[in-house]
Amino acid sequence: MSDILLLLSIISIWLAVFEAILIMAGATRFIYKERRRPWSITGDTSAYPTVTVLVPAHNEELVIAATAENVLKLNYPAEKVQFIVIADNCSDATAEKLCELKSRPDYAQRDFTVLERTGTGGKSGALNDAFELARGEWVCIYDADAAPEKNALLFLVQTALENPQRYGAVFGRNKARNRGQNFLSRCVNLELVTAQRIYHAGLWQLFKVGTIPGTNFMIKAELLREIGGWDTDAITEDTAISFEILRRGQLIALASRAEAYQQEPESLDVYAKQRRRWAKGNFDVVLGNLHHLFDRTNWRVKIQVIYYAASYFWFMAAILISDFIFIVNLVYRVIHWFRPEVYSPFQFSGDVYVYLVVAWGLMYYLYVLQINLALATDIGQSNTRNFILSCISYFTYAQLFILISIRALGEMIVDRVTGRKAKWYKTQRFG
Amino acid sequence: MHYESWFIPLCVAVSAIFALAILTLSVMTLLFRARVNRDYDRGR
Repeated sequence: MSDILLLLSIISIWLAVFEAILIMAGATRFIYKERRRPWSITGDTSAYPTVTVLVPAHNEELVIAATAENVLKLNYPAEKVQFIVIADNCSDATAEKLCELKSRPDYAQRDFTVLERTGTGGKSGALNDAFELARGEWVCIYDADAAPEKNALLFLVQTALENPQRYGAVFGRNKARNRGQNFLSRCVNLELVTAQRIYHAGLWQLFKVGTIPGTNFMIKAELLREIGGWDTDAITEDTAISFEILRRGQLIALASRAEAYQQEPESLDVYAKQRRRWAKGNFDVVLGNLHHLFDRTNWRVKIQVIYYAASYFWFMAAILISDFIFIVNLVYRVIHWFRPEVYSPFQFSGDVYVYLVVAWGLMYYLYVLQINLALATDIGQSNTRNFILSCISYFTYAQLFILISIRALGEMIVDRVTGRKAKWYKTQRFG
Repeated sequence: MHYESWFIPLCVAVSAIFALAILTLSVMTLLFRARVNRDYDRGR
């Protein structure tokens, strides 16, 4: 039995290593091509589409005025931008701050609406209500803490216009604005840079597969109407809508030059709540789409399902089993020094166990390498501090993610068995 | 179990291929880093 477990663990780790190498190779190709591609922020904008920018805000008085101002100052023809901020069930001064901003003479001519709302449905409900007022050909979403770079919308649109028939949505690249705050925010920054520069870029380059990140993206209004808006029952509405777009044969394109800064959690409890929600939401979406592996759905949906299922279930189980075997053997080795008659229950024939350690070593090296490849392509991020952090984050931050995912899995099972409806937690902002 | 006769050579082959791929990616990482430093950080 222990031999079978060992073999399954080794083969699963190989597959995880293979997946990471493949995606890194794709990302390398993408970054190489991106560096050679010319770009322009000027030119004729008459053919550019109209865009409705939506910003859902629930008690966001700390950040909302700055976010709204960033959107109003975007480098995009003002007459082509409809801007709607949704003050969703706010009990603070969010709406007042927005009205004060709207009354300024600079923005008097702008198509700027503050929608005060008291309905249900969380972020999805707020977006659906605002979408009813949308007149743009595309709908662009920014979270209430977003600070889009001046040309972010322009780059999103330029990418959309590269293939307007196939691209149903376009997403940009998010960066942590508070990355230097503490150990946690530095680790979150490493994760964010790696996700954006390696996983998003690699999957797009290899398979033309993308996932909407929840902020700094835009979607065709017509497609969104066909989908029926945002799913108010989904905990991670962005992943749910991504699957809907792919199922319709449309692509979610990566516009890596469209950058926006966002706030990341600075405390452990805020981080844990946010990630538990993401993990639960992703479990839900994966299980809900698992049947597409066996039907005639678009192959990109199958790739997404396999990718999510492997990341959240299979590889995680393999890592847990191999970690368990590794630790038990280590403990028994120490006991064996003092009591030679005691042996580990995991006894393996030949040198096979060595190859579990080799596979684990490869995986660790690759973990550090992918972070550093991502950092190397970003200005000012590839430094000694981040390198050391990438080496130690495997034993700290990455293990935290595993623990959170296990808890989320448990909660999701309880939710399903008892019929309890999962709660949508808004991530707390820091002033 | 007598799987070692085929599994260990498989382990060696797979590990060697992965090591080669990882080495290539490591070189690419250093190249990207050097380029970004040259173009944006002015070699500082």
